[in-house]
Amino acid sequence: MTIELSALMDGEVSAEEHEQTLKKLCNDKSLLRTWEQYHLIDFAARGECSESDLRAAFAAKAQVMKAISPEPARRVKPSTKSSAVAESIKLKIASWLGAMGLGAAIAVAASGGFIVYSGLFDEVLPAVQFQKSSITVAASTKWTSDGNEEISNKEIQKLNENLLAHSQGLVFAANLYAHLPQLTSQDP
Amino acid sequence: MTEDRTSIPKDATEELLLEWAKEGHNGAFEALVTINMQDIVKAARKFVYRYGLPDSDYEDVVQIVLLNAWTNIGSFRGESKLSTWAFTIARNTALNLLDKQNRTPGARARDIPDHEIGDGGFQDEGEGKLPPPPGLTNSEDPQSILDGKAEVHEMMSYIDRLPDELRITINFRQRDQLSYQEIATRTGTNVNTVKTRIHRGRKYIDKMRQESNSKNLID
Repeated sequence: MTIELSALMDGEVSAEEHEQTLKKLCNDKSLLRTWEQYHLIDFAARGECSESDLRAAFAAKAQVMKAISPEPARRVKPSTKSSAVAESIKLKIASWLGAMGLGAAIAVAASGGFIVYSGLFDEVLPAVQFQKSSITVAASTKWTSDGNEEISNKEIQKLNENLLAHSQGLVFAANLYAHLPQLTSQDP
Repeated sequence: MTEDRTSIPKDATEELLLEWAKEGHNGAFEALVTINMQDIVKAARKFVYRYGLPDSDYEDVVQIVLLNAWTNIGSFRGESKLSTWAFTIARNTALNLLDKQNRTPGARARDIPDHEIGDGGFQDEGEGKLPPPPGLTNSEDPQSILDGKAEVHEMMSYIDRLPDELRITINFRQRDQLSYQEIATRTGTNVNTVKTRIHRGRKYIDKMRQESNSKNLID
């Protein structure tokens, strides 16, 4: 299979092999590692950036992939697959950011506080609060008839005020919540 | 004798991976990031350097860029190159880091308005570029240039140690950017042989790199 990967890197697979090889690549972690190694060799041979920078970047990618990889949901009321995956991703990201300490969380820590609310999908999401390198996931335990979590209007107002106050903060966190419904399908 | 094969443009691979990544497939996103990693690294390195951020922030920038990319992949419309999009994220990430740490930009970036910084080496963007620091031929810092040269030299030494048939084929591909068909014609073989030789060459190089890294760790 790795021979097909090598050819795929060079754009030298047949039309028949193309999608099939890509599907295998996307679903096999060992193939993804080989894919990474072959690219690293290719990039290093071109010499457009240092291999140590590339290695650090691939290490960063590994951390991000670990953080976003779906796992069984820890606290799921709605029974749909999409909600379960979305919930696990939210918790994973929050715990990952919390564990980073002075790493990528420095942007969060320096902001002194950051609360997210998304009303795009007519649901209230757990508020993620970042404070000085520590992160808490504040979620209510009350559920709506649709199976979504529910918090009070006062809390919503507070969330939105904070979001506006910290709109220059970590935009990715807000966008993460806004896009969670899309992060469900795992089979291309 | 050569074979008639239908080659798939690299863009088609990226397009399909992007489509799956937008649907939330992590493996597709990871493969897509790998393809574009060189551009992400270049962008992160340039901005860390240009805004006078400490070297230790480089990995943070990469992490946040990747997380941003994953979070926002659904909104990427494909109107620009993915690498250009990643470049913009890297710039914003570096600026956010700068802002959050209440730092002032270093001397290299001081007095240079953001709109003049442009895309810093991403030729397709077409905006203005920050002039290189005095004495440098590009915008990377001197240590990166030295590291990069040493590593290219190391990589070349691996290629030189390959058996002749693999070395020639790999060089035609990596140095001259020839297609498998063109290489087959020049070497009097067929596309399948070229495909196998390039693959074997890459495996050899990977093995030599791993052995070298292990030896360095032991030493």
